[in-house]
Amino acid sequence: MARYSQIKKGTRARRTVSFPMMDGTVIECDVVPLLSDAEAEILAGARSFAKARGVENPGDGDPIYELGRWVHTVARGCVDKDSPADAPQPFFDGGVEQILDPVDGLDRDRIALLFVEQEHWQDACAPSPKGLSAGEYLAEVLAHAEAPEHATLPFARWRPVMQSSFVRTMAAQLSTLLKLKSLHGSDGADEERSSATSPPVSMPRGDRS
Amino acid sequence: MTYSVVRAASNRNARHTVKLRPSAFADTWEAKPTESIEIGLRLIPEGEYANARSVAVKAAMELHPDLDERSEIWLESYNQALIQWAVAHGTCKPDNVTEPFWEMAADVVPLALSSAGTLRLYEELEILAVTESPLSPEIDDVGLEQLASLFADRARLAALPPATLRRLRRLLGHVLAEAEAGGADLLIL
Repeated sequence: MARYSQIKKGTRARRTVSFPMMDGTVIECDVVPLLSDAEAEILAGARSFAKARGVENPGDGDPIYELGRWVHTVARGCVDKDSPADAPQPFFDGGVEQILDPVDGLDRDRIALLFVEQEHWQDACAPSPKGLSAGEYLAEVLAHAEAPEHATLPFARWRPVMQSSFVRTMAAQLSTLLKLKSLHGSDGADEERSSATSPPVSMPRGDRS
Repeated sequence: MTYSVVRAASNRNARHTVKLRPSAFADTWEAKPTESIEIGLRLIPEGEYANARSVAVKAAMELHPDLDERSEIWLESYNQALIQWAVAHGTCKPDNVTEPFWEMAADVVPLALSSAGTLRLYEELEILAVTESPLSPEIDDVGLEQLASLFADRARLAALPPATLRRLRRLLGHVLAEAEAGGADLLIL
């Protein structure tokens, strides 16, 4: 979640997103970036959400706590697209309870979709944080490669802009390797020489926090 | 437009229904139908789904108080309770998705449906969840060609586990029905 000084376009910046309702109707709402006061409310709301569902000590990584964070983010980050620019009104006018209504609420995939849309817009409205150095990048690659199966990867906790950048950098490197392998045949005989002459690929940029 | 306005204007008819034959109902069910009946299907809101796990845990613990999730028998009971819960909450009146198909559905489903009938409805709900999810990826052209090639090659099909093949055929049965309903020109070359 960005601090006030990180929001370039201000909280009034909006992006319209569309999504299909459960009855198939496609509707639109706007997503807005949130400030740190909203973050505190969201985290508190997520803790209450998880505690109410039997999680004794909720925190990062707990799936019920994460779901609570999604729901509280969506409740605050989605606004009525017809509301005035200087007085945005919540799209979910019944708040979290409306999103979680057992009859008329949203299912998990729609909640996830709106959460991701808000998070991406949040990132888009924040200035680009500094990137990883080559050493940090390699350390992250190794950390992911050597992580036990089913472990929560560091990747899962990064900001979307950092995740995109990390994947793009690895894909570019793999693509270079595949092209070189193709040039030299498929037996991989020239792999060592190829990688030594690969063009440098820029390191991923973004904020892991 | 707010969510309240959107919901008030929404169509309450179930977009997906399934016809269940009498054989899908338990012989011991006093209201067992004598002919096929139409049941509406609906996506289960997260606020309702959040209760599913605790209900299933409770059911498994009541049946097997001396076991826990490390036991296969316990897990089987948990899964069965979860499936019955999903069927109870994912079925509705065909003309109103907000109205459960059965009164007290959670209590009725285990009594009214046979195991096969329960599984059939659960599979229909799984398909509904995939086809209606805004996060489900659509198959691309390469995937379509791979699928056509697979189903044109009996040897490769025969190499699949029989249960997988049956499930694939059922899923493709839905695809064919959707194509027919959409007016596709289904030629056999």
